Amino acid sequence: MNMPLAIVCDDSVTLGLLLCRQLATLGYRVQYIAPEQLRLPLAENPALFCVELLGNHSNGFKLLRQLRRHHACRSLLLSASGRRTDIAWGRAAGADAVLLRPFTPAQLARCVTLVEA
Amino acid sequence: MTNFHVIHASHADQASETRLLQALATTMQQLLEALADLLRQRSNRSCLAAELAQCSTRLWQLAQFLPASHGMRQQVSHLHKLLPALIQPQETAVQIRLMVPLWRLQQALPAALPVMAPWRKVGNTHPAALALLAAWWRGQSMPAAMPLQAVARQLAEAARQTTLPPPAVAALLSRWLALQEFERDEPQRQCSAGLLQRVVLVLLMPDVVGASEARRCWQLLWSHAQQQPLPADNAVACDDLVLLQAVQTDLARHRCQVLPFLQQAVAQPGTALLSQPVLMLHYRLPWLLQAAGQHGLARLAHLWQRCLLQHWQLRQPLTPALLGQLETLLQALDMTVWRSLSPLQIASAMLQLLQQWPPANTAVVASVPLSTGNTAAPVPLAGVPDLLAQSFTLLNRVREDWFSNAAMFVQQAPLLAAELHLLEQGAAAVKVQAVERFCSLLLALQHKAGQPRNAQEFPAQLLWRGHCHLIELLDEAAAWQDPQLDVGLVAELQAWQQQGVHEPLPAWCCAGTLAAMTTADLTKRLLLFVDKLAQTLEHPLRLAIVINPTVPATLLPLCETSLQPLLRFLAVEQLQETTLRRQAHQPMAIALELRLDLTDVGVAVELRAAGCTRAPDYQALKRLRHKLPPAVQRLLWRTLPGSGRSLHCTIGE
Repeated sequence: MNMPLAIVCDDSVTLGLLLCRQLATLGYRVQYIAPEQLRLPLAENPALFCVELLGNHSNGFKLLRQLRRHHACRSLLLSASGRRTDIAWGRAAGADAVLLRPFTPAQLARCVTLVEA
Repeated sequence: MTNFHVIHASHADQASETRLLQALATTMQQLLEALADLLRQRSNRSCLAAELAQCSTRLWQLAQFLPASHGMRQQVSHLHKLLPALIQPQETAVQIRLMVPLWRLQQALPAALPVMAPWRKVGNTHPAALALLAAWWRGQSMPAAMPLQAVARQLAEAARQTTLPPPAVAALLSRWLALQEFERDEPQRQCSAGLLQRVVLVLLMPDVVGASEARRCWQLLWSHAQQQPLPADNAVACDDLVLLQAVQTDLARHRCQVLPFLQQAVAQPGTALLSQPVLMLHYRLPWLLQAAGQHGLARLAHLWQRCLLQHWQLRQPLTPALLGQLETLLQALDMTVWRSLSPLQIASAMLQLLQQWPPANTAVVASVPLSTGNTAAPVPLAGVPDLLAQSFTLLNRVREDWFSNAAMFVQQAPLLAAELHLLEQGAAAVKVQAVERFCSLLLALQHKAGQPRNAQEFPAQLLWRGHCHLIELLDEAAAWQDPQLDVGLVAELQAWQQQGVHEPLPAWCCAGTLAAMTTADLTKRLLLFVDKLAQTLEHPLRLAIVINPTVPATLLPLCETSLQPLLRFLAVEQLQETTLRRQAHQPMAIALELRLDLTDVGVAVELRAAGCTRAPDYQALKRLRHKLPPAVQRLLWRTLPGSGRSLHCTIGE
C-alpha cells in the first residue's frame, strides 16, 4: 500500500530528522526539505506538511501561505517559543494545528490524528 | 584491560598482523629521526625538553599497536622511561645511554615494520571521525573542520573516562580494521561496520545510547576482535549516528555564527545589538541539546534564549558580564567537554545568568481602539503581540475582490480601518516601526480611497498590493524578523495619496459654487487641506470627519474657514510632541478627529487629537484666537480621559 507522504521543513537538520523519525513510526513516508531548498509547487501532493515557525532564512508563516496557494494538504506548524501569538497567527496563516516544542511522540501522534480528522 | 594488548600476540593470521604493523612504520621512522635531531640540538634546552617529551610520547603510543612481546615495543618503552632524565642539566651520560637504543631502533625498524597506512582506508570508507582520531593519534595536524576534530578528541577523552586506555581503544579499532579488510562475508562485513559506528556513538553520546547498550557494544566489539562472528540479529541501527552528525553540524553552525557576534560585541562593548540570526540560533539551541541528550545544558540554553529574547525586544545591548557568560556557554557546546560539566556547574551558570537579567519593561499601551468606537483597558507591553494576533479577524480574510471597486470597499472599510488602527497602536507600542509606518500609510490611503466623489480613479490594485505587503510585514514581525518595507510600493502608495494636493480644486468645489456646498464638499476640501498640511509638515497626518447632516449648508463655508486654523494649530502642537509620543509607545502619525453638530447657538466643533495630554502654550492659544474669524466663539481646551486632547468651539453667524 502506498504510504502517505509527510514533508518536514525545518532549518535545523537535527530537529528535522527527529520529527521525520517520529512521523515514520506513525505510518508516513517522510521527506526532509531544508526551507531554502523548498520549491513550490511540490512534485507530489503531500498528505501532511510540517514546518518550523522560526528559521534563520525562513519564515513558517510565509511558507504556509505559499503552500496554501498550491496544495490543499494538512499542515502542522511547529513552534518552540511558547507564545500564544504563534498559535493565533499560525492558524491565521493557514495551519491546521500548531504544536509547541518540546512534544512527546504521543502528543505528536494525537496532534496528527486531530489534523487528519 | 591489559588483556587488550594480547590480542595481537594471539593473532593467528600472520599476514594480516604484518600488514597491520606496517601501518606504523613510516610514522615511527619519522619520529625516530625527529628524536635523533632533537638530541643533537643543545642550544634551547626548555624547547628541546618539551619537544622531546611530545615526540617520545607519540612514539610510545604508536608502539602500543605492537604485540606486547615485540622487541621494538620494549625498546620504545625503555626509551620513554629514560626521557625524564634527559631533561636534567647534566645530560651527557644519559644522552649516550639514550642514543644507543635509538640507534638500535632505527636499525631494526625497516626490517620489522614495512609501510602500510590503514587509517587512510578508514577515512574513505568509515566515519570521518575515526580517521581523524587516527590522524590525531599520529600527531598530525587537524583539518579546519572543528566538529570533526572535536569528535576525535572526544573519542579519546571518552575512552579515558570509560576506563579504556586510549592504546586499548586504538588496538581494538585497528584490530577491527584488519578483520574488516579480510572479511569476505558481506553480511558480517556490514554488521561489523555498523558495530563500529555504534561504538563511536557510545563514546560520543553515552546519554543517548544508555549504559546497557554501551556495555553490549563493547562486549560485541571485544568478541569480534577475538574473531568470533557477530550475531546475525545484531541489527545495529545507524540512525543515531546520523543524528549525531546532524547535531554536530548544527552545533558547528551555531558556534561559527555566534563567534563573530561575540568578537564584535567584546571589541565594542555597549554598541552591539543582538541580531535576529543570533537570536534564532539560541531559539533552536535548547532543542538541539535535548535531542543530543544534554538535558542540563538544554535547560541553561533555554534560559539564555529567554534572556536574549528580552534583550532583543528591548533593543538593549548585552552587558560585558553577559558577553563573558555567553562565551562560556559557547565553550560548553563543544562536544568534548559535555561530560565535564556537572549539574552544579550548570545550576551555577543559570544563577549567574538570572543575576544579569535585564529589567522588564512594564510600559503600557495607553489606549487600544475597539471596533465599537470605545477604548479598551490599557494593555501591558508584553501582552501586545498576543492581543494583536488574536484581534485580527478580518485582516487575514481579506479578499482581492473587496478592493475591486469603491462600492465594495466602502462596505468593508470601517471594520478594516478599526483593525488597522489597532495594529498601528500595537506596532507603535512594541516599536516595530516598519509596520507602524506602513499601517499609517494604508490607513491614510484607504481613508482617501473611501471618500465619496473622489475624482481620482479607484486604486484597486494598489490597495490589494498594499494589503498583501502588510501581511508579509506582519508575518516577518511575528517570526522575530526585522520587517523590510518594499520601498517601491511605499513610493507608489505615497504618490497616489498625494495626487491632487497641488492641483487646483475641482469645479464642484470652487469658489463660485460654494453656495451649493454640501457636507461631502466640506469633507473633501478639509481633507485636501490636511493633505497639503501633511506635506508641508513632512509628517503623516490624517483626519477623520463626522458631520451631522442637520448642519445647514449655509454655515458650511464658514465652518471651512474657521476649521483650517484650528487644524493647523493642533497638527503643529502634535508635531512638537513627537518625542513624547515615541516614549509613550504611541504611533508617530498624527490622527485628528473632527465632529460637527448643530446646537441652539450654532455649529458645535470638537477637534480631537490622540496622544499627548499636555496643555498647549498659553501664548500660542492667544495667537490662535486672533487668527480665528469672529464667528468662532467659546474656544476651549480639554484633556481627554484616556490619552489625548481636544479643542472645542462654536461657530455661529
